[in-house]
Amino acid sequence: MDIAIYEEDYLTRALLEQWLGEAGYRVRIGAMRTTEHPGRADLVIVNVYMPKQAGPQWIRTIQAAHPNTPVIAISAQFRSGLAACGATAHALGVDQVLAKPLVRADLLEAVRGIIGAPD
Amino acid sequence: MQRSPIPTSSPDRPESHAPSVRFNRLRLGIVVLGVLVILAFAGSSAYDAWRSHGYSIKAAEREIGNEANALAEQTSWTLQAVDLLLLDTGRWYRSDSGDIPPERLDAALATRTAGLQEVRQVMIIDAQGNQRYRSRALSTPTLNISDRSYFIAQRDNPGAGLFMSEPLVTRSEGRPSVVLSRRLDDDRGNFSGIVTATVDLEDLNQFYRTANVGMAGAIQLLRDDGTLLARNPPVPKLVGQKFPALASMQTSPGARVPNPIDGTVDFLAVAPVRATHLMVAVTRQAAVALQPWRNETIRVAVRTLILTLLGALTIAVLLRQIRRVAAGEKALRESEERYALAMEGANEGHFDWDLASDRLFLSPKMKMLGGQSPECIIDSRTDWRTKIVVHPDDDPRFERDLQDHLEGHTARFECEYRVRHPDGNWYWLLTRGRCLRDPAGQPMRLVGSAMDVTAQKQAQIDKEQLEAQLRQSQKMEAIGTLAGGIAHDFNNILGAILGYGELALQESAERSALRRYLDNVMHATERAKMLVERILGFSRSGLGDREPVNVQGVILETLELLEASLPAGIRLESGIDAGNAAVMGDATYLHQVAMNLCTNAIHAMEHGGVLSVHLERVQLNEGRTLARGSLLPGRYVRLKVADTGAGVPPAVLERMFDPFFTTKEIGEGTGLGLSVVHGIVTDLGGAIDVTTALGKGTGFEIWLPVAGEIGVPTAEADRVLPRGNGEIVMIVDDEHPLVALAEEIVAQMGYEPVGFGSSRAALDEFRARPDRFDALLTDEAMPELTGTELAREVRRIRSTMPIILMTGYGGEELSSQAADIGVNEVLHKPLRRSELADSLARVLDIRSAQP
Repeated sequence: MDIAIYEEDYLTRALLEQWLGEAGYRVRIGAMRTTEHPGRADLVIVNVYMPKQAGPQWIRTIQAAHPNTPVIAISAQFRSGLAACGATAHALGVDQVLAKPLVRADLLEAVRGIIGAPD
Repeated sequence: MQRSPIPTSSPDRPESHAPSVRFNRLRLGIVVLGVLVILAFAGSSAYDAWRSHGYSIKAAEREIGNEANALAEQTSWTLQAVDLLLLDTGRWYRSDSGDIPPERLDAALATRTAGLQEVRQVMIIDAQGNQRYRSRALSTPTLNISDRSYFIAQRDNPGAGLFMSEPLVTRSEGRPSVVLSRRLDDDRGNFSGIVTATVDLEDLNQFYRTANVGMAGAIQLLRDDGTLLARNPPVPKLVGQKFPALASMQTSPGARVPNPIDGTVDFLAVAPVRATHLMVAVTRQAAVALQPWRNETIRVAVRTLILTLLGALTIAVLLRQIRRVAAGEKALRESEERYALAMEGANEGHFDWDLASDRLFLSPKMKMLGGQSPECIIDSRTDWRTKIVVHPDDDPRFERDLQDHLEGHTARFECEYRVRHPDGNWYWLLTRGRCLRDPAGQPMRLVGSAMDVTAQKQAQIDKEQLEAQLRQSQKMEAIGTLAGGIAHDFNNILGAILGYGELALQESAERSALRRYLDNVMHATERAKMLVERILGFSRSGLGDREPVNVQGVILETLELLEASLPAGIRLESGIDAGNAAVMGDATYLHQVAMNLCTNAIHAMEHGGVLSVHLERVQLNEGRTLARGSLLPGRYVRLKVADTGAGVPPAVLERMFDPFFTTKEIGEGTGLGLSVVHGIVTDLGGAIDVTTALGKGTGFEIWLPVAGEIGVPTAEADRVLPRGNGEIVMIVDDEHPLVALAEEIVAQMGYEPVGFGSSRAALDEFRARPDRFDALLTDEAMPELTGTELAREVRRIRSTMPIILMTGYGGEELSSQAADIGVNEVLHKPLRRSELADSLARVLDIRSAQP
C-alpha cells in the first residue's frame, strides 16, 4: 500500500513516515508546490496550510495529480473533535480530515478505515 | 437613542410694525400743527394788513375830504366877499354914482375893490355891453363885451344872480381869470348893464398853494360841469378844459380814480362851493397815500416770513430729529430682530445674569432648552437652579467651570452638560458665556447663550462607538492572524513533541524515572495543545464543521446542565422561544458560547442574584450596530444572558473580549472565555451587544443569523437513561463550577455526589474513608495530582474502586496509560449526559432501567 504525503513540516513528515512505516505502509514524499508527481499512491495525506483561503485550491491540485485516490487532509487549523467525515471534509472535497497535532492511533485508524490494513 | 431636538418656536420675535406707525403719526401731527400755527400767524398778519389798509384809506379820504371842505368853504367865503362887493358896487353905482363925476368913478371903483386881493378888476358895463368904468386904469380902450357869457346870462335872465364865467383870458391883461357878474337894473327894473369882478386865477392859486396838501396831492377848482379853473400844483395849459370825472360827487368810499390831469391813480374828495357852481376837488395819489401802509405791510410781511421760516425750520429740525429717533429705534429693533432671528436660526437661547442681585433673564428659548415652558417665570439663578435638572455626572463640572470663569481663570465660560426634560429624556446643552467685570475685576454680569447639542453628541458617541468597534475588530483580526499563525506552527511542534514523546514513552522502562518525566512532558504538551485549540477558537482562523444546528436544543441542554449546578443564592430565569430556528455552525461551539456566558454571569454574582437567559427570534428590518459587530437586516435568533451582579467598569468593557484579558486571579482563568465567544459568534456571522450598569448587572446579547429550520435531534433525548440508587460518587475537578455541574447531573441520575475541587484533598478524604465511595469520577488535567495519578493512588488503597477518567483531549497514550492503571472508562469532554449515565451504570454494574 502506497501513501503519498504532502507535508512541509519536516518533523511532522518524519513522524508520519515513522508511524505509517512502522504500521507497514510504504510512504512516498510528495514535493510541495510542484506538479512533479511522486507516482501512484493508494492514499494521499495532504497538509492544508490555510484551509479557509488557499486550502481548497491546493487540494484540487493534489487531486488532479492523484486522480481517483482517496485523500486525508490534515491541518493545524482544523479544530479538534471534527467529525472525521463531517461537513468540513465534505466542504474540502476530501475523504477525511484530521486536526493537528495528530495522534498516532487516530491517524492509523483513519488510514485503515480508508485503505485497510497494509499488505 | 435618537431624540428629536427641542422644538423651536418664535416667542423671541418682537412685534415689528407698531412703532413705525406711531412715528409716522407723530410726524404728521407735527407737520399739521406747524402748518396751522404758521397759517394762523400769517392770517393774523394779513388780517392786520387788511385792516390797516382800510384805516389808511379812510384816513387819506378823511384828510382830503376835510381839505376839500375847508378849501370849498374858503373859496365860498372869497366868492361871497366878491359877490358882496358886486352887490354893494351895484347899489352904490345906481344910487350914489350920480354925484361923482364920471372921470372920478374909476378911482372910486378902485377904492372899493382895494380890500379884495383876488379881485383884479371891477367894471361897470352898460346895457349894450360897453365897458363904462373900470377899477384899474388900463391902457387898452374900453371894449364891448356883449358877446361874453357873463353879459348874455345877466341880460337875458333877470334872476340870474351871481354868474361866474368860464375861465378866460382877460382881453385887457391877457391873464387867466374868471369873471363874476351881477345885473344892474334901472329904477323901473329894466336891464341897465352889469357889474363884473374879474378874479385872477393866479391869485386864487396863490391861496391854494398855501394850503399844502402834500404827498403828491393836488387841489382843483372846477366848475360843476368839470371845467378846470385852477389847480395847485398849477397846470396852466389845462385850465379851461373839462374834467367831468373830477367833478363827480358819486365816488364810493375808498374808490380810486384815474386822474385825467397827470395820469396817476388817486383818491378823490370833492366839495361843492356853496352858492356857486364851483367845486373843489382834492386828489391824492393812492400809491403815495398808501406808502406808509405799504411800508408797514412789507415790514410785517418780512417779519411774518422770517417767523414762518423759523417755524418751518423748527418743524424740519423736529421732523429730522424724530426721523433720527425713529431710525435709531428701527435700527435697534432690527438689530434685536436680527439677534432674535439669529438665535432662533441657531436654535439658541440666551441669558443674562446679574450677580449682585442674582436677577436672571432667560429668553423663552433658553427656558425651553432647560425643559421649562417658555411662559414659565424664572427671575433668579437660584430659582433657575431649583427648576432645572442637571445630570448628576455633569453638575459638579458645570458649577466648577462656572466658578473658574467667574474667578477669572478662563477667558470664556463654556460647558456641555445634560439636563432632564419633563419627558424624562436627557438633552445635551452647550452653554457659552462671558462675564462682564467692574474696574476692580469683580464679576458683575454673565451673559451668554445655549444650544441643544444632543444630536451632535449622539452623532459623536455613535462615531466614537463605530471607531472603537473598527479598532476593536482590527485588533481582533490582527490578534487572530497572529494567533492563527502561532497556532499553526505550534500544532506542528506539538504534534512532533507528542508523537516523539509517545515513541519515547514506549521505549522507556516502566516505573522508571524517565517514564515519569516523559509522562509529565506529555501532560504539559496536552495542556499546550488545548490552549492552542482555544486560541484557534477566538482567532477564527480555524476551520470547524458547519451544519444547521437547532439553537433552542443547544441552549436548553446548556440550561439543563446549568440548573443542576447553580450556586446557592442564584436563581435562573429563562424564556426560550426560538422554535426550530437553525444556525450554520457546530453545536459544540454554540454550547461553548452559552456555557461561557452563563459561567461568567454566575461568577459575576458572588453574593447571589438572578441569571436570566432568553432566546427568541428577531426580525431585523434595518441594519444595526452593536458593541461588537454589525448586523444586516434579516432574521436572527437572539440569546440574552444577563446577571444582576456588580456590572462591568468601562475599562473592562473595552477589553473584555480581548484574548488573555481576565479579571480573575491568576490561575483561575485563561482569559480566553469571552474571546472564544467572540470568535465563535463572529465566525457564525453574528454580533454581540453588551449592556452594563455598575451595581446593577451586565447583559450579553448574542445575535446569530437564522439559516433555516431544523428540528431538535430527539433520538438521544427520548431514551430513558440508566439511573443509580444512591451510590456515592466522588467527583474531582480543579474547576469548581464543573464540580458543581457534575454533582448536579450525577445527583439527577440517582447517585449521591461528593465533589472535590482539589485532587490532593480528594485523595486525603479517600485515604481517611476508603469505603465511603462507590465510584470515582475525575478530571485528568489538574495541577497537583493528575487524574491518572489520583487513580493510581486510589487503586493502591482500594484495587476494585470503579474509576472514570474525564479528559478534554484524548490520545492513545492516555488511554493506554489509563488502561494500565486500571481506569475503567475514559470519557471525552464535553460530556454528554447519556454518555455519563451509561458509563456510571457500566462501572457500577447497574442494569439499564427498563422503560
